[in-house]
This record gives sequence, C-alpha cells and structure tokens, in this order.
Amino acid sequence: MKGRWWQSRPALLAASHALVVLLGWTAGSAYFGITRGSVQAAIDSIARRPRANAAYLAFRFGSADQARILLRHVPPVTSDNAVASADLMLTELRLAVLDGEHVEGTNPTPHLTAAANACTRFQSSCELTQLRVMATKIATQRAHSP
Amino acid sequence: MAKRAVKVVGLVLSHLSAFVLTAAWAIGHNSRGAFQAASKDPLYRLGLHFNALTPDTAAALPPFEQDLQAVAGTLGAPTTEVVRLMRHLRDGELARAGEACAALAWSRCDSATLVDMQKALE
Repeated sequence: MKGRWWQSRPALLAASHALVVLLGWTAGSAYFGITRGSVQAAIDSIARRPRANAAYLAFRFGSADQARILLRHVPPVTSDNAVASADLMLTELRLAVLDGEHVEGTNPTPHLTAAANACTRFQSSCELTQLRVMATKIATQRAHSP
Repeated sequence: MAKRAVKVVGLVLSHLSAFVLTAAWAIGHNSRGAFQAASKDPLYRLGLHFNALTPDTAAALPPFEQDLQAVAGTLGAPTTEVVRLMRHLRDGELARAGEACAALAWSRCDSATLVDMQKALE
C-alpha cells in the first residue's frame, strides 16, 4: 500500500529541518538574551565617549569650574565592575586635584576619600597617602597644560 | 551498510549545520536590532561621530550639529560647547576650534595649545 505524502522521506526531512531551524533560532535568541549586557555595554560606551572626552579636555585645558561640572556629568562605565570602579576613582582624583586635595595637609578630603572607596573595590592597597601621590601626578597634567 | 552510514552522517551534518547557522543568524539579527534601536538616540550617534568611522558610515548619520542641538538640553552648556570644540579639533578646523575655545573663555586658545588639545584627544 502506498504511504501518504507527509510520510514520504522528503516531507520528513523538510519537517525535521524546520524543527531544527526553530530550535536554532530559539537557542540563538536565548544566547543573545544572556549576553545582551555586553552589547548594551558597548552601546553605552559609545554614547558615553563624547562626555568622557569632553570632561578630560576640560580638566586638562579648561577652567576648574567647568571641569568640575563636566566631570560630575560623565555617566558611569557599565561594562565591568572593576573598570567602573577604576574610572570612578580617576574621576574623583581629578575632582580632588581641582579642589586642591592633593596638597599635603589639606583637610577634609572628600574626593580623595571617595577615590579610596572606589579603589578598594578593585585593589587591596588603597591608602590615602598613595592616592594623594596619584592625584599629584594627575595634577601635573593640568599644571603642564598652558 | 557503508551506504547507510554515509546517509546517517549526512543527515546529522545537515541538521547540525541548520541549527548552528540559524542560531548564529538569530544572534546577529538581535545584536543588529539592539544597535539599530540605539542609533535612534542622538547621544549614541554623537558617540559614533567620535569613533573611527568610514566616510560611508559617517555620511549615513544625521549632521553632527543637529544631534548636538538635540542633546544640548541634556548635556548642559559647557559640555555642549566642549563637545563642539572636540569636533573642530578632530576635523582639524583649528580656526573654528579657536573660536569655540574662546567662547568657553579658556585661558589659552593659541594654535600650539589647540594642537596640544588634539594630541590629548588622540
């Protein structure tokens, strides 16, 4: 007896391939869902770049008041906790320089303290004296700027 | 027997390749969708202007000044002006960069300083 058409070999092959394609699409979409964070981080990094560069330029060459405004408006890094903490530390060190906190004997030092807090999230040794040395080095960038 | 084995291997390979190709397509399709959705945001497009773009890609974007005006309210006055200055520096328009620098009332806006600014942004 002759079988029905959907029981034929080509029909079964087409059906099994369609099922595999469906599974592949689902698996690919699920994988994208898991890794979506890295795509979003790339997008955020591109959107953040003009503000981050503008803040750096203002710190190097601009007035202290403008540099403070720009540094405070740079959105945080979203890609990775260690990178985000390092970036926050650098921003706080620059703000510390603008407020003269890198000068020995200055008190209080809110930005240096904030930098130390950010530092402890990715590094074990984060003494205020160490951070003051780093801030002094960063200050030379600004001091050497015309 | 050997003929049957070849058939089975062929079936496995064709199903496996269909699965892998479709999964890769789904990942690419979704990633592309995410970047296309982001490109509706003028802040993201401003960022694209400052990334290494091919002339074709840059031409596909709306004008820089249009996007800068669109986000001026969000960025605030000094940031908008500094971003404009950065754009002139990147494009090598030192005369315009000098004007933007002067508009910011920065202490030094001479050619040598503007070149230093260009280097700082590299």
